[in-house]
Amino acid sequence: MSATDAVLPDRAPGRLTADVADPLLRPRFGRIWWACLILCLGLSILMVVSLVVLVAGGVGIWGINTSNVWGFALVNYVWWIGIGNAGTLISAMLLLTRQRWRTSINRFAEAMTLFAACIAGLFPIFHLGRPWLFYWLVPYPNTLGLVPQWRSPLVWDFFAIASYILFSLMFWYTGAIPDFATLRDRAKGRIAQVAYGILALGWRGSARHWQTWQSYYGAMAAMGVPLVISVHSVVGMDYAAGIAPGWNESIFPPYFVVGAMFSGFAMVVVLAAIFRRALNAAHLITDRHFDVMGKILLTGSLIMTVSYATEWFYGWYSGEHAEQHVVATQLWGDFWPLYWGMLAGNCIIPQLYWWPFFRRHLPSTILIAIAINIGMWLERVVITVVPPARGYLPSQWSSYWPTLWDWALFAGTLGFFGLLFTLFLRVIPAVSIHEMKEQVAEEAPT
Amino acid sequence: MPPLEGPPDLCADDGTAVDRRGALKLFAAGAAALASGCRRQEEMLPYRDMPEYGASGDAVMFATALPLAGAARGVLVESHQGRPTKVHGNPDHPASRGGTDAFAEAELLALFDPSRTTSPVAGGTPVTWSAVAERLRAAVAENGTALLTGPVGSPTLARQVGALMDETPGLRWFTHRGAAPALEVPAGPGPLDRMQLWPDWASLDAVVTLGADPLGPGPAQVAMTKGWSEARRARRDTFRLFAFEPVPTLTGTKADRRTPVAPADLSGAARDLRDALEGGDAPAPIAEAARALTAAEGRACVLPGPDLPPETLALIEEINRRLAAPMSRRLPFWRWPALTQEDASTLIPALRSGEVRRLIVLGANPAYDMGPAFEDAAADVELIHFGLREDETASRAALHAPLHHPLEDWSDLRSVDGTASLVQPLIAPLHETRSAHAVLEMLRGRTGTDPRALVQETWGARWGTDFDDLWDGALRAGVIDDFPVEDVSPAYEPAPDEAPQGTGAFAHVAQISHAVLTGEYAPNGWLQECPAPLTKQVWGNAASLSRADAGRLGIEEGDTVALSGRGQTVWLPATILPGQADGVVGTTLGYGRRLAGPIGSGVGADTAPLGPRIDVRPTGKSGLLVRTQREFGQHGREILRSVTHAEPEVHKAHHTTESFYAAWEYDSPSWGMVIDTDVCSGCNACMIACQSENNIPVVGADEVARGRHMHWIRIDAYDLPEGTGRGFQPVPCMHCEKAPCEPACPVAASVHDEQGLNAQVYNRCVGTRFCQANCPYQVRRFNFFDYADSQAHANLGADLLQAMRNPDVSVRGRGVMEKCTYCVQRIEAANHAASREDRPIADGEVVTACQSACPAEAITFGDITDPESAVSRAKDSPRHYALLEHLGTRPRTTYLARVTPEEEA
Amino acid sequence: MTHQLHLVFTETAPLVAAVKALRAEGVTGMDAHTPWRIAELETALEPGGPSVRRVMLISGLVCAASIFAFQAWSAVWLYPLNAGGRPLFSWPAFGFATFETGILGAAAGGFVAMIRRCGLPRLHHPFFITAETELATDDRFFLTIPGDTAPDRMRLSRLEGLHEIVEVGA
Repeated sequence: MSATDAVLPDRAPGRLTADVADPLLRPRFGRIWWACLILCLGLSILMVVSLVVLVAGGVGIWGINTSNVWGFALVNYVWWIGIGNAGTLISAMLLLTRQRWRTSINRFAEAMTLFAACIAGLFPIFHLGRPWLFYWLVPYPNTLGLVPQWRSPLVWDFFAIASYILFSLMFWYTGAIPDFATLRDRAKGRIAQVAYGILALGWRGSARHWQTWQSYYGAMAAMGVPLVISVHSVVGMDYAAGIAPGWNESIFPPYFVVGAMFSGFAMVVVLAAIFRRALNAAHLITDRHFDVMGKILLTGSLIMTVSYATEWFYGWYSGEHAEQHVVATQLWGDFWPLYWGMLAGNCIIPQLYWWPFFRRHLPSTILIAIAINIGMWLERVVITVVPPARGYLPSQWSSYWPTLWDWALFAGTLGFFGLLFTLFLRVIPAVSIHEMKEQVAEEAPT
Repeated sequence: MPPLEGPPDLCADDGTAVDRRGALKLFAAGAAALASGCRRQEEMLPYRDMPEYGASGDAVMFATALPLAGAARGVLVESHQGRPTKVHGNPDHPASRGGTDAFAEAELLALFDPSRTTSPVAGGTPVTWSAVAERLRAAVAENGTALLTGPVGSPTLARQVGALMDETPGLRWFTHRGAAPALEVPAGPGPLDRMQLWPDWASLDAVVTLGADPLGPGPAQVAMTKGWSEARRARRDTFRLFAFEPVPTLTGTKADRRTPVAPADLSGAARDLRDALEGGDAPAPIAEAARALTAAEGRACVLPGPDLPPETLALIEEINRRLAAPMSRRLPFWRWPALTQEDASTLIPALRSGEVRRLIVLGANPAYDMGPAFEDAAADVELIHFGLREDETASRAALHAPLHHPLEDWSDLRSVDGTASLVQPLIAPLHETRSAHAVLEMLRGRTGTDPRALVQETWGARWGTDFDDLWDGALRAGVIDDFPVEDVSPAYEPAPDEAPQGTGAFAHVAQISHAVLTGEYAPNGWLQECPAPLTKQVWGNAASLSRADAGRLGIEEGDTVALSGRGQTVWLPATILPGQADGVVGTTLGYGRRLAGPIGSGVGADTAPLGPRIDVRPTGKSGLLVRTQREFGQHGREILRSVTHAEPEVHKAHHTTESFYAAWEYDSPSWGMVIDTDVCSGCNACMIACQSENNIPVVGADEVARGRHMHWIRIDAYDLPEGTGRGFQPVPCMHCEKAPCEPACPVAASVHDEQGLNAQVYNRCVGTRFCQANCPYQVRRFNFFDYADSQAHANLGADLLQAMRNPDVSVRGRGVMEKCTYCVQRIEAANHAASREDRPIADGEVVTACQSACPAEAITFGDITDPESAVSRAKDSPRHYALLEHLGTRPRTTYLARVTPEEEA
Repeated sequence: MTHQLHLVFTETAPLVAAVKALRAEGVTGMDAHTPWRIAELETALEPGGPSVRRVMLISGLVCAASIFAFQAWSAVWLYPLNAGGRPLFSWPAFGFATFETGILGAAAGGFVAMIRRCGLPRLHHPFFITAETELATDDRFFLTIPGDTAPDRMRLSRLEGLHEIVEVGA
């Protein structure tokens, strides 16, 4: 059996429609779904409580201080936006390179992007000292006669994130319109018919529809790749445009982009496994998919390793004591467990993917992907926390300890992401039905 | 209801009864007072020579004096619409000379302190002052009553005490002294036989200290720092300071050569020094000091520490006589030879023996200061306490009545050098308090006396017919010219063989605290949060150890250690101080207050009862050490830079700092600052001055432990490359011309103005903190909470404190970034004044708060576009350098390197 | 409404063949409804109209140019501020918002263009008259021919792979 065959299900188009669409239209979902929903709902409530306490009490409830000004807020922001970048990147890049196995994962990867980007967007707003004034970053006519200060990376960031979320929403929604039409046509209940009917916008799959759709969707994919790269480059610029040793590095933008793709892919692997289990969709997401994604993760891991090595090299080569000290502190200083944890998760453990067994053995590949996600989270901790703790003036060296509220908000956002994903699985086709059928039809012997 | 009584002018002659006519007058006066809602107008006179600087047009300066350990420092108090808002130094006063110390600056907070007692209390219930007066009359009438005061530096109070003792045979007067001023040493066998050494720094070229800390905290600090820094600045080539001391002090830190010596070896060092001066052999550092002294004969002196035995003091006196040391030996400001004065050390035996059965405490806190010994001895003694707040003594007292704060009171005060000044109130009393002078009159059976009249009476007797002119002149100048100062000739007797001082393995040196003095400033949040100069500890004290001792005991920085001595044990965090003598534990006094209000209670531990020998034991715990700076090494970075006499030029940066961008042009004036790290003595006056001027909130120990603090100017301490100790580097905002914080701000809250200031626009700030992350000097301060108001530390959000705020400076809310503004409000005041008069701003017209406070005049500020300005000339110095110059930030605040003495050949 | 014929296919190849054959015979007004995109149909049916991509390009460029001009104007003329000694016209720093806004403008413009070109949203369409057409989003392929131009049933029934013919409308 060739690899190409394995990434596409061996089913008739009608079966495929039923496989994906019918679970959404069933009146009951299983107990596991409800358990997930309740767990995630609980954590989401924790998130809301954390945000209310934050706004009422001030950012002082977090562990940040005069030297470590950002802490978990930026750690989690970058982590989430990293995950949020992968979906569009995967979907767009694989579409452009005509990777057929993409169709199994692109829809929920895009959903993951959208959810993660929205959650990521919470942090820059709520980390503000006065979050109710976040709209001052928007250029709008005001009595002060002021516009944003365009030289600030945070303004770039604001434009990047806002554009990215809106872009991702359009990209994802456009891709899903034909499937909404499918659901509209299969739905039996009136509510579902109306709801999916509205979402489908009256799609009827005419030749003109498909041609226009294709033209737009392809162009969006082409724009998505540079957009994603720019978005995460700007996130990297939040640090790299600063002057702090350990941040002021020109490698940051590309290194952040690769890191984002890496962590996003790892998250896709985890979600794909959950989805495959939840919908009994082993024929849609095959071992072959995990095999391919394992190879990509392995590549990502190697690039990350090179990036870290580059940081070490430039830290040394800069001749700037402060830079060298930050690298040394990361490796051997107070924060060494975080740094070595990061290296383990991002560089060492993914090397298991050299062996096909680990790429195809589902429990192993999930564990490795989770290790990567933890490693990438630790990377953001290391980046956000260590350089400001070891700045140019030793007198202001400090340490950083997150508080309970830091953890609560992080756990809450994980739960909220889970909640959105749980609901997503319930109402939106998790696999692109029309693309899957198109692929199957193209592959079918004629 | 208390018996009706009236002010003296309404009372019948015997001072007790009120006749019918008088009663009517009283009712009318009461009605008038109700209608006008105010007390009698005080006739205050503004300072004669209003400084040009000092904020907006409605500010008026009044000259007065503030006591520290009883001794005056002349100050000018800035008043806005009847509220004192800032304390400045009085340039005409010899104990201030325009500089201030942290304590003087912090008196403002002490005045508005919400924890002050607001009315007399007896047994937990408020009572009237007439009831207090009655109680006092009754107390004085009985035998066995004694008066305990702090050091009395007020001629009027001394006159009143004298009169009281004349009128009341059998009344004993004890003087309790907490912190002795630096250079006040025994001059004879009795506890009151003391003298105040007063070196003439202008005539000195070689100074050797043996345990003395003239630059350290205390009432002499400002004058000594002024004198030392002027000598250092004027005669850097010849002036040398040698310090021999057990625990690093500010004096030792600024000495050209510092040698750690255990306390027990100081006497030996003095002998060695004498031998060396006589041509004998001595250890190298002593021989070097001796050579310097000999070379500067007539311009040299040896300054003894406070705890030296009489033989050693006699020896040092002999050396000083031989060197013809330019220094006077003065009768201490608190000594009144005409009066029968007893030292508080004799109080406890008197209490124990029952000779004293009733103790009236006026402005002292013996229950804390004298420790458990007092508590035991006074267990059955009736205490009547007068003080600012309900402290340890007040809590045991049958009656506690509140006194005026010095900024509410009329008085007179002498400073350490003996100069007298008048004290005038800056504000009507905030609470139902009375002047100490009024309390003494109550003891004499007189009520309702006006303290101003009492003070005038004192000086009227002296000045006679010229009184009006001299009084006005003294009020306007803040200093009285002709008050006589007596000299003392010391006469030492060999000390009786004292009982062994204890068996502890370590010598214990308890120093006066830079923050709480000996405990009286514990309720002051500004001072509690003011970092210790060398350890940067806040909100508590620590046990400092030498590196060798710490290593031997397995103690690391911040570990909790148990200190035991005289049967007492206290637990303190350990700090490791470079330059500390081995076998010595250093602590600071004044902590471990049980009742010092919400701010000061339970902070640190009281080490006074431990005695001079203690044992040290690690406990395996940690976590008590709260600091604003944790790392003291420079890590080879060129931060606190040094030059030598031989090579007076700072080695310039190896990087070029050419910029990619064209420079912005600035018109005059364009502001800049130069800080001379060579004369900065680390006294912290600038920090508190800045806090007071700029309405900077206190955050509390928990917040500092989290790494949050709000000081706009901080003083970094770094280990010196020589390894002998630490040096100081004050760090305000650098006002970089290419400020990294500015492009980081997304909402243009951090921008440059046309005068070169890096401005922070509070209303525009949304709190991204990117500017803070991007400031390589880390001078930006963020309001993580609403520190200034609703989330203030302890009671510092009280409404009363609103009155203390500088009205020219915004109070920042939660979520807003703030930082040093170069006192932009003062710059604007100068701008307005100059434009009103259509003239340019003169050099020196704008003085920042830190600059005006600095007793060492280490800070120069002015227009850097004017090549003739003081700041421009300072920037031409070969010692001039910019901090982190290689980053290309082009800071406007720059530094002068410290000068390291070259090793003697 | 005139009546329409829906030719239902179960495979794509006969559909494409039928379209080609009928067009060769001069049948006009045909439209196909398929559950997925069939590229050959687009060459066969040639649905015309303005290109979505041209709209995207224009809209993207206009948005990018506007935001760049706005940044330059506001930083240099509206409210010139000295931020860190940088030049007022800090064009490299203006690039980020320009790029992001350009992409967003292209995406949004394209989305609107796509919706308009497809005639969406539309509440009802004659195609939906019969429930049979619900399968057009599943696995059936519909070729819609207006009743007045349709060849006769005999011709249609000769089309290879034709599953059924559904006639709708009056």
